[in-house]
Amino acid sequence: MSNAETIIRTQLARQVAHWTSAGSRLERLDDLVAPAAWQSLERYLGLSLRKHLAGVVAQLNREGGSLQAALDAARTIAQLSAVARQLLRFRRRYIRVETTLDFFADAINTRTNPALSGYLRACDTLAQRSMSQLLDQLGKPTPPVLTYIDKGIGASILKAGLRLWDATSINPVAAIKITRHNLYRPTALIHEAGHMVAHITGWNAELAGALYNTLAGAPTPIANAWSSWASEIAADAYAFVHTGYASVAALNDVLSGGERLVFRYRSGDPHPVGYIRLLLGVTMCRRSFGAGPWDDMARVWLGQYPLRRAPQGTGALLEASQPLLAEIADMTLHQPLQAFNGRSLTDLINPERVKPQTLLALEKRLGSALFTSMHWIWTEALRLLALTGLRLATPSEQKTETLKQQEEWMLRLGGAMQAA
Amino acid sequence: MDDALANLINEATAVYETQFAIEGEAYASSGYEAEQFLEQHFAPLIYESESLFDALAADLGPRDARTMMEAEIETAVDRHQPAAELSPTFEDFFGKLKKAVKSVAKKAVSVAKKGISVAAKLGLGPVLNKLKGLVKPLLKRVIKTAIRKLPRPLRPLASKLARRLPFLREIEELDMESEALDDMSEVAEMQYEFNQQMANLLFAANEIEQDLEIAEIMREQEAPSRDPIDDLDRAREQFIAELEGLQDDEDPTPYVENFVPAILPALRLGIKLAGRQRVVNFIAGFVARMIRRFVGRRYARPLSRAIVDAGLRLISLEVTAEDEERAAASAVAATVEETVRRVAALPDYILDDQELLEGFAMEAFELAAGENLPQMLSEEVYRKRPDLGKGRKFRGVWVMRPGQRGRRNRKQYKKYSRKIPCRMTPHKLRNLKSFKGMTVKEFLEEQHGLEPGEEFEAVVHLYESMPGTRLADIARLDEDAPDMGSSEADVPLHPLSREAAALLLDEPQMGVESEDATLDPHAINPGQRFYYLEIPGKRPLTTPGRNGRPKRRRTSRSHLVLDFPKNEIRFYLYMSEVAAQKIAARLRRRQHAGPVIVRLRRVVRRAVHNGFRGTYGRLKLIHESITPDKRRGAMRRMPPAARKLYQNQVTRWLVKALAAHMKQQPETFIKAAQDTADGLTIQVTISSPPGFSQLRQVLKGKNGALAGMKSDSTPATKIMISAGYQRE
Repeated sequence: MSNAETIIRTQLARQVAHWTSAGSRLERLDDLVAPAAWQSLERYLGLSLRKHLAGVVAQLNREGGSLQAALDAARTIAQLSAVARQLLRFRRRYIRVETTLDFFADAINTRTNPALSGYLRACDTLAQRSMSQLLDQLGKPTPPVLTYIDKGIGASILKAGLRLWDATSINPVAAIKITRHNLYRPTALIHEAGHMVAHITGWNAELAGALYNTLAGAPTPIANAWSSWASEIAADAYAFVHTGYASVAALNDVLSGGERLVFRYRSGDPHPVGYIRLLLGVTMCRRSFGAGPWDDMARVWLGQYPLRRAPQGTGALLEASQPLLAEIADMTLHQPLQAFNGRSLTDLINPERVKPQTLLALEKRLGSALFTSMHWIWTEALRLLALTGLRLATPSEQKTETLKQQEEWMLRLGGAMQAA
Repeated sequence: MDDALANLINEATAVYETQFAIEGEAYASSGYEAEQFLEQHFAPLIYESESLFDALAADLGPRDARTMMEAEIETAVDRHQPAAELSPTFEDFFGKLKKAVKSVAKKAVSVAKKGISVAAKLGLGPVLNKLKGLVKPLLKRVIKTAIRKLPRPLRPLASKLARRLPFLREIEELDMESEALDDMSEVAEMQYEFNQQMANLLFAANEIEQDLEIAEIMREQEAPSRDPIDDLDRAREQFIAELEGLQDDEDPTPYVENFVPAILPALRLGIKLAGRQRVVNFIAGFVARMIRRFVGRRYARPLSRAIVDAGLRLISLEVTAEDEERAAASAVAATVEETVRRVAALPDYILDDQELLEGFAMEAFELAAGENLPQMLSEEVYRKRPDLGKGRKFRGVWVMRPGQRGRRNRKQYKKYSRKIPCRMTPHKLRNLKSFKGMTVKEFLEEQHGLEPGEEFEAVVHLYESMPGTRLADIARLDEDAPDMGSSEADVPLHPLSREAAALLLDEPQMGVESEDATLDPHAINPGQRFYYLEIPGKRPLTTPGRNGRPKRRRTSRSHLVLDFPKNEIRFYLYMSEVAAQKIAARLRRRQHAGPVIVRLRRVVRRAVHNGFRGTYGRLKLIHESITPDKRRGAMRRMPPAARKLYQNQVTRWLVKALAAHMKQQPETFIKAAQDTADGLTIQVTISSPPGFSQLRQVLKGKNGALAGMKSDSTPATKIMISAGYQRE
């Protein structure tokens, strides 16, 4: 071997050793996530994630092994150059794997204490339950859910089944971010679970087409705009059928961030303009439940954000959309879809179960056991979310008590509150 | 205390396995260190328990036991709280210990009043101080059980107490068939021995006797002991390695001769065989001859391949290439072990007759090979001998688990390589029986929130016990069934009887019939089979645990106490959260109580039936001549007609009392159901039950008293409904 080859080999060997040993260190998953945090996950979820991450790291280290073997075998400058290119690829892979690991580590590590772990476990259960209620009927498996907490206004989801940063592995869990302000009123969680369900069933594409067809009589820009909002409309409708008015009230609080935000329209943004999005939610309430507290909410909303203050183009779009809301709501809720095996959303999840009168009757029938018995907390978790959301959204002098009740049943659902 | 002890053992086992049972390291090198480590682990519990006795001795010691009231004892014990926060398992045990201390102290006061014990002269102080000495040995026994360094077999039961209390001798005179210990699980034995030690201290005539008792307990704890299961595990590993190294045509006899003697001590019936050297020699020679066609390189490779084809890899992601290479030797070792187990269970007259022995040994080998080796015989053979091809349609094989490379080296159980999908219908679920007199339907309704009448697809995982298997070990170690995993006493495994195998697999032969299979989940014998139903999309229901971690919900259960000295029957019916809420919802609607009573009657009738059968954990018999180990035998010896008669009578009294209560005071049930505790307990006390004194005589074997047992009158009853799980 010539002197030049030796010099290149020495340089390469050092870098290969550095990056492969860094790869090996990633195997120590407990260095990333404290054992206590692992244990705060439900066993099946923890095992599934550990197995997945261990597999991602093992794949990286196999590539590390082959990099080392290539270096050992390289004899010529050309071969060493090939090793150098392979090293660069390995470095990129390492960074991506690290990003994948860090994402899950950060998510799991948000379970900083038993109470927060309990809430987040309750959120996992609520989201998963909402999905399985629908997906079971279609014979599709429900992915595990990992909820984590973060700052910000809106929730988000990293869907299960998508390719992760490491570019080779598929995300095994639906990772849902819930924001701090909404922790005690997590209907946004159900909205995010709706995105997961839409992804699994192919609902979005079909709904986009159906919206376009429904609005065929309207000007094209209006039909186009509504069609492009299909994914968010689907998730809103999903949250509505599961939690009723509570989801609309929570949406109000997120959207009501001043005129600029309420009237903001960006082409390509899957979110409907806030102004009309809330009114669509109200329309779903009216069409499903008749008159109710949502009417007052709409009145205040319209008074607070008069359409004349909307930017010109947006104002026209919104004005033209208002008379279409009933049609859009009915189609979204009641039109049979292939994605749902020829059934409609409300055939699968009946919103009648979360109608205010039904929820209040449930409370009356089961008394305080509804909030204290693990049987009811487990079987009626989603309706409890709907009920407490309803109570918080309607005039009452017991808001503090309702919030406390909500906090307690969620802690029980998450296994973090001991029986008295 | 059974469940609390079982939980302590499970926790200690888990700690031990995590810290010590590392690859390739046998107990011999890690045992002492493990024991020390676990003692450290249990130190806070020992400290708190001993402090409890110290505090009570200081509190109650100076008082005259003869004038003390029961309520004072209750208050003194309740007042004592642990100084530091204990883990949930420890807290559970500590709570049970407090209960035990209460009842012992009350008993001590009661005997002191009669002037029998040392407490009459010296007060409760010395008794409590001596009782304190029992805690450490009990927990040491827990540790040793966890690391499988089992203490020597239990000393003869009740012997000392019988010397002191003459009425206990009656039991010996009855010439009862000895069933007792063979039927008792290690947890029940431990609990029983602890009770026995407490009783011996309580009835000691003076302090010297008490000291002697303590000294003996300590000596037993220190006595060196060997673990036959550990020995077998090492012998098995060695045998497998030797088989792997066998050359073509090399004689395996010397290796089999080494292995067979290690199997016998691990089998309860093996001791009988160990004394018959002729039989042991024959078996070793016979088995060595039979396995020749499966060992040596020429045969081992195809055999290993056949096992891999039979689904070895499907069993777990843990299965390594090395496991695959060892598969043949491992399967042959399992065949040898099972052959020996089957022969050991043969009756004496067969073991004594060479010709018969040869015939039965051949059958034992064929059956063992049929179970442990993949199907390699011709279709015709299986047609003629269907017993050799059990479950052939599944094309699986039983494999010893966990694998060789795992951190947990010891083979703990066998798993069938194939998981079998099964459509579960209400009919199947109703007819599948689980442990403790429960049906699988009830288990799933209460643990998985299954709706009545629900049909679903399940995946059946099959397991077989080996020497030393505990159900909790299977649940913890099988990572292929993560939802099963828990360190709790209740594990979601059910006995695979012939009937269960027929219903689930349409293969009755895959099941194993065992008279007591549905009784005690803690007393498992090698060769028993179990199954776990994995239900996609359904996970076990949980309730918040003390440490902020969810724990599996408790299933409904009952407990019948026949207390002859007090002349009363106490019945505890624990209703799971699911069952309790269903009834509470009906009661809240103020509807006609009829449907509630119908439901309760069904539950009560079965509970009383289980109690009178002596089903594990369902009966407590307080009778002057029946020790706990003789309880089941005593109930079974009763003439069936008499047992049924009294059983029906008790059911009638209970149902009438409950019906009246539910009509008049439904709010007590509703209030208990509203509590956040998991489930509720109904306690019914029947005072001076008619025919009870006759039953007492019948249980002593005096069947002349049968005539007076029947009565149409209704005794006085008292009902208490409280939140959560209560029993004595």
